[in-house]
Amino acid sequence: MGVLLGLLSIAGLSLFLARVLGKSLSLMPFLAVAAGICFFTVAGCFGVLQVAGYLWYVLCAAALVAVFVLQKGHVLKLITPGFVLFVLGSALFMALFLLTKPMFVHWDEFTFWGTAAKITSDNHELFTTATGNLIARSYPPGLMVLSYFMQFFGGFSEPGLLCSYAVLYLAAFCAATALWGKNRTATVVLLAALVLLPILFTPVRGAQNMQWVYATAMADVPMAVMFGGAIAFYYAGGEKNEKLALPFGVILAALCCVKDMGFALALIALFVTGLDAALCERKHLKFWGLSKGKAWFCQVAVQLALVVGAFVLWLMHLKTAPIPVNRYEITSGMNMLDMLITGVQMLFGVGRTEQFGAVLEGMGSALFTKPVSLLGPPTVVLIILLIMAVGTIVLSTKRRRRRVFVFTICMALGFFAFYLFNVFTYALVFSPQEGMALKDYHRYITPYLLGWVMGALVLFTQAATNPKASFYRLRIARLVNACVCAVLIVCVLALGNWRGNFLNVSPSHYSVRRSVQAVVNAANMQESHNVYIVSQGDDGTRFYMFGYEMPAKRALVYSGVQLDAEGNPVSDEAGYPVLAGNVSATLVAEGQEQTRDGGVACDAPTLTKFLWQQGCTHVLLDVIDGYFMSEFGPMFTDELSGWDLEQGERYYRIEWTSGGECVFVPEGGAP
Amino acid sequence: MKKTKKRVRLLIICYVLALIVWLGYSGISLAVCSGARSGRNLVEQYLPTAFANDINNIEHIDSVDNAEWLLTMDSDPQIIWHLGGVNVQQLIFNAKAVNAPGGEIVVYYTTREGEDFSENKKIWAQQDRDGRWVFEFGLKRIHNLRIDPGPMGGVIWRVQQITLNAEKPWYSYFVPNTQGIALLLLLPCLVWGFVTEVWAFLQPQLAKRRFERRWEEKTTHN
Repeated sequence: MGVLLGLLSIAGLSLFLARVLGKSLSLMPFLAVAAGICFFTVAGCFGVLQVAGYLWYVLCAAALVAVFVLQKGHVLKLITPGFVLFVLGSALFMALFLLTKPMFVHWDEFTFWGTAAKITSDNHELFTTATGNLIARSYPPGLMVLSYFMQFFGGFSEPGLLCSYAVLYLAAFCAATALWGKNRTATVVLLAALVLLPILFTPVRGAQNMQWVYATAMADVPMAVMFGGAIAFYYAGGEKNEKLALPFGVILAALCCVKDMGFALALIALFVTGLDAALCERKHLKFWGLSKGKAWFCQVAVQLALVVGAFVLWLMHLKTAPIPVNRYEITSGMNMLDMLITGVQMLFGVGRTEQFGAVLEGMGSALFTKPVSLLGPPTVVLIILLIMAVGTIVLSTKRRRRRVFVFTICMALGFFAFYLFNVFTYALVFSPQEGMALKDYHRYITPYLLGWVMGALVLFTQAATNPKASFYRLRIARLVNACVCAVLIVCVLALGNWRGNFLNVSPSHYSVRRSVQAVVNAANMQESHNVYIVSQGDDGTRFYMFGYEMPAKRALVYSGVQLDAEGNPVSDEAGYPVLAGNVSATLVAEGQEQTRDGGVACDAPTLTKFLWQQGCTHVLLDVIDGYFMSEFGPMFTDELSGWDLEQGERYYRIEWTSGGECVFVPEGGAP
Repeated sequence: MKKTKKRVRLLIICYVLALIVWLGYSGISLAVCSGARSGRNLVEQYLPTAFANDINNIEHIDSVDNAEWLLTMDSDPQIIWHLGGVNVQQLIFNAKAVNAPGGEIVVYYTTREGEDFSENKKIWAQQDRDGRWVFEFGLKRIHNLRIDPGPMGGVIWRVQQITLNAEKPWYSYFVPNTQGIALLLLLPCLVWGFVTEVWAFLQPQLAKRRFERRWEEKTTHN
């Protein structure tokens, strides 16, 4: 229900913006969503999310009323088919998610995206400062605040988060259909092709990857769609005056808020549109009183200021928030600027490492071999984009031809820069194994390609909606448009693996989630508890899932004695070794470390000391094994009696004795 | 106004057609399946409950106690059922992982003799109200079936029954799943859009007249 109100607020604001800016209503949902992201990001940085939430809904309601007053009952005149489809499509997504009840299952959703969104909603506070079991806290907050304000009423739920993402997707796609104006049928065809685009950009045929498009909290597809939507917004936005320039800047700022790479994509989008404005629109540019060169300068300056402003705001916020680790220093002690400088140096052969050479070579051949879409590797997509560009040039006239030419060249240059940037991250930020294997290649490369295809489709539309073109050229362009969309749709329908899509995800995928939920629900946890989780054999998956589900604080798992850079044990002031915690470790007997995956030697006194150091108050038994029962069993007052039949007590309170020892008492049971 | 009415009428026709196609398809499946059932070509059968003794049929899986309890031995447990060319409409795997989450359950099948199991012939489990895992095949002639109960070793499964071609109530053929609902709602609209776009191209004279008229309107307004 909450998301329905969120959708209503977006719709109300869109109507108001369309009236005020005098542009097509199809463009406005995307602008409204982007404005929401920016607004709540700023509010979150200043710690007033909840106030902002009420303010947002009051303002949107006021905007809706204002439209009816300003339009004097002619509100229907504003409505476009794109907007209608946006509202109906979002509602359909909500209904479908209500039926399928999707859940998060990916690692990244528990280490960050899902957990961050959940604790932002639960605490009415940005995840950077809110209490909750989140280890990485420094990623930008755009999508978490989107999920927050869309679900402001009704509270956080996983389908709700996916619904708010769906609203974002449809808003961006709807913006790309703006050029068709009131042409309903052409809008339907183009929108269908756009909605299938994220599915086109799933890498492998026949495998199960398709199941999670539209059903994941991860930020890659939202960022891709926002990048494409931003470009589409500019090209479909009509007259290049201040009423386009400012909203476009806001959209770019929102793109920066979504993910770090969004900053790079926003700069590329600004580069493409800035050159387009300079080379193809200079005579028509306006910025309040200014025109031509001055207007161009002011427009680009304002947009750049908004982009950089969003980036700097987040950096400033991170400085003030008490975040233990700087993300850029975890892997290689490098910030982004250092990475760029070192990367360029290595590119020209200065101090090139083995990893850099291997990554460079791998990324080169990946262009031709690694699949990023149902159609194949990036080169296939690039060839299709080239064909589309040639087709658009043939169908267009004069200024529009130049525009397509500039767009294609700029996007190609941008792709080169983007690709190089990814080479640098693989070579300098990733660990050698992950970097050289080009881990998640398609996830990092597709956002750019998807945005490019969206832009190319909008330029195609432009050829078919040019009022100055001759009648027959226009007719043919319109038919070609419909056919291109049809080909795209048929490609996705034919090549995609529809036996596994986001609407029929098998509930068996959720069995791990369900088992974790069952354990948490059975335990009588309070917010003040600090819980040590015993999950023998876990690789961190269950650890993070527990963190997501638990209302209590989750302590790290004992992972051995802390070592310094040379591999020697670190001692505290009293000369005792410092004990380290991690997200996963299996406790084993001395000498058994090598025989078990993630095995860490640990006996009862060591665990006692670790629990004391971490300030744990409770122990949760998730999965235990023979060693655990024999070594630690005596510490439990019930001696783990029920566990022979796998039906034992799971939640224990830690009671400290005067000698620095502890016993575990079943929570709620007699001491 | 006339044009709008015409278009809306076409849209309604598209939806009605979709409904007819759906009902027809469901009706034909019902007819074919009940025909096959009465002709003994579609038979309800059970995976032999004593299959633990028939070790040829079971790979990577060992049984404990009796046939009801299965213990997966490695990360790729498989229950293989050599059917040898039998019509299959549906498979129900009534089983529960006891000691750990079972994980993703899938079924692979082959439709020819001597064919290997492949990713292209794979079905993911859906769950019915009683928590049984259900696999819908449509109606296929199947040679071998392979149930993969999760990607984990050391899981104890309590298998109550594995049923092929259980009797289905007639109305279940007419109830679309979520994906079907989405398709029924979206496809007619898309077809309508595409047909109208192509139609607009095929009627150039009419459209041209309208185009010129609109152009005149525009220029006189300015």
